[in-house]
Amino acid sequence: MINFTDVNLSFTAGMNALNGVNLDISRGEFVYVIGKSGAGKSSFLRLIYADVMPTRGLVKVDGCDIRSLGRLQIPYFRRKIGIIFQDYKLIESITVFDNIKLATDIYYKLRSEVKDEIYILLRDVGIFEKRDELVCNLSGGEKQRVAIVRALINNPQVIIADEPTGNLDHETAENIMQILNKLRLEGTTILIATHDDNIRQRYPAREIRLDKGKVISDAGVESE
Amino acid sequence: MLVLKVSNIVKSRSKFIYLFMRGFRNFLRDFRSNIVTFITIITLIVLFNIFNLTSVVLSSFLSSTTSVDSIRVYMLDADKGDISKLSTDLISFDGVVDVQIFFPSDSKKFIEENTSNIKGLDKFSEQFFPTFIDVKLDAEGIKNIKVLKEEMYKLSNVEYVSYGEKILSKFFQINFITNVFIVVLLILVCISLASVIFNATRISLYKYSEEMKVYLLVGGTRPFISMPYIFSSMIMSLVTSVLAIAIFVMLSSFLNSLLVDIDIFMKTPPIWTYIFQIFILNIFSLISSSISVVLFIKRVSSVNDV
Ligand SMILES: Nc1ncnc2c1ncn2[C@@H]1O[C@H](COP(=O)(O)OP(=O)(O)OP(=O)(O)O)[C@@H](O)[C@H]1O
Ligand SMILES: [Mg+2]
Repeated sequence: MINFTDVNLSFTAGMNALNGVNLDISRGEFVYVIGKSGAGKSSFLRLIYADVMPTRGLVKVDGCDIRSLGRLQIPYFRRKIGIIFQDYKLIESITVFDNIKLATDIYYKLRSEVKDEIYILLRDVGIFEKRDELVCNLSGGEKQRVAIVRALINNPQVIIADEPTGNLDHETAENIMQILNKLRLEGTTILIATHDDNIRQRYPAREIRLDKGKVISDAGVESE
Repeated sequence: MLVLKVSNIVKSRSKFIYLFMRGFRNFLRDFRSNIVTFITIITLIVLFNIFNLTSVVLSSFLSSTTSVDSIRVYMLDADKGDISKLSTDLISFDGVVDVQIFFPSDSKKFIEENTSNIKGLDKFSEQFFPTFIDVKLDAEGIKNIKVLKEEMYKLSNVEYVSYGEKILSKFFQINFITNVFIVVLLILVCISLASVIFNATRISLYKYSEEMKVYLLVGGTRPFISMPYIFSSMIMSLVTSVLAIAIFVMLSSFLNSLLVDIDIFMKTPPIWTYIFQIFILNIFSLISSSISVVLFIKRVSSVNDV
């Protein structure tokens, strides 16, 4: 599903955010990306959703070399991937429902066409009651659940979460992990960058450890 | 195959409508913050039309006062025989319909009647006034007026031939200058309108850059993201230009209705000039808003930094 071959990424000349990364992640795998701050976790994930291009090497997602994507193809490529951030990247001034609807707008869908689907997902993550609330009035955990619904609404093949529980307390983090774990059981490929040792112990899985842009260990429970 | 094509057309049309409706929604959403832009554009267009109207009124005034339909032939020393011979010669020219002889007494009377404030005119004796023949021309004669003039000079006893070309050329100059002025003004109006729209679009883009970022994140295409903003500014410029023209037309017809009482009527510009204006202004705003959007979107290349 995701293949890295000798990938280098540098933002400024001479400084490698990623350095000679070789990896294979298969379909349906659940993977933690761990490492110290500045180790290159976010950069690694950004490559997968083609937000940056490798300076050297080959990044393939679902058989597609991301370098071969033109400006026009990137949007279509990105529709296969659901992305979740630590800072949610929601629009605070509009409602929960409207935030999620943004993701269906790109298919030129009307409100009435997507209402049911959105409601189902909102119920699944337990924030159905908040659907008409403005996002700025929500708690962190609720916001992250809105972000998850937005990432899921277009049925992505891969979920990428960059520190999804970074801003949340243990209990709320646990709740978010339950939701992601459920998706894992449904067979979605999931990559999570995290600092949180607690959740890794509660939900063990393959762990890719980065340090200074290099993979220094790649191990863990080969779940399936 | 055909069915596929038809369904594609239907699909792209419904996409177009979808994006247009989003543009309309953006337009309504930004209406309040765009009030200043609105007023600026309306003021610009109304002002421009006031100048344009002034120039139209001026040029219609000039063309009515300078309409040429006759040539005056002034005579050297005239006795009755010379005069009648000259007038028969003149009437035989192609393009001449009529001749009228003015003796010095007629000349004096003519000047007295056609001027209002030449002091002491009555003190001059008739012998100071010339004898001339007023040669009325038809359309063809007017067309060949220069040639006619040259030929009339060749006749005997002719001292001077004139159709007021010196004054005419002055009037033409004035007319030309006002037209240049109006064109320059139109260009300036277009440029200001374009930059006003450019800025309004840009402000709106900044305001919704978060939304854009989300669309980039979930895989919105560039046309999908940008078209609504272009539509929105198109709607804005269309609405404002039509509104401004409407305001101006009402204003000028109101003025005309006041002027009718004192027997003056302003000639208003023909309707096509308004349509042309709306067209030009909207083309300019379309171009500038597109540039604004394209420049902005180009900078928003990454999901992570806008
Ligand atoms: N846009 C950028 N421009 C320049 N350098 C960058 C950019 N983004 C990341 N870097 C550098 O690349 C390296 C890896 O950064 P990255 O954000 O991937 O780390 P991280 O593991 O996600 O850290 P954190 O745990 O703090 O999120 C860092 O040295 C960082 O300074
Ligand atoms: Mg990071």
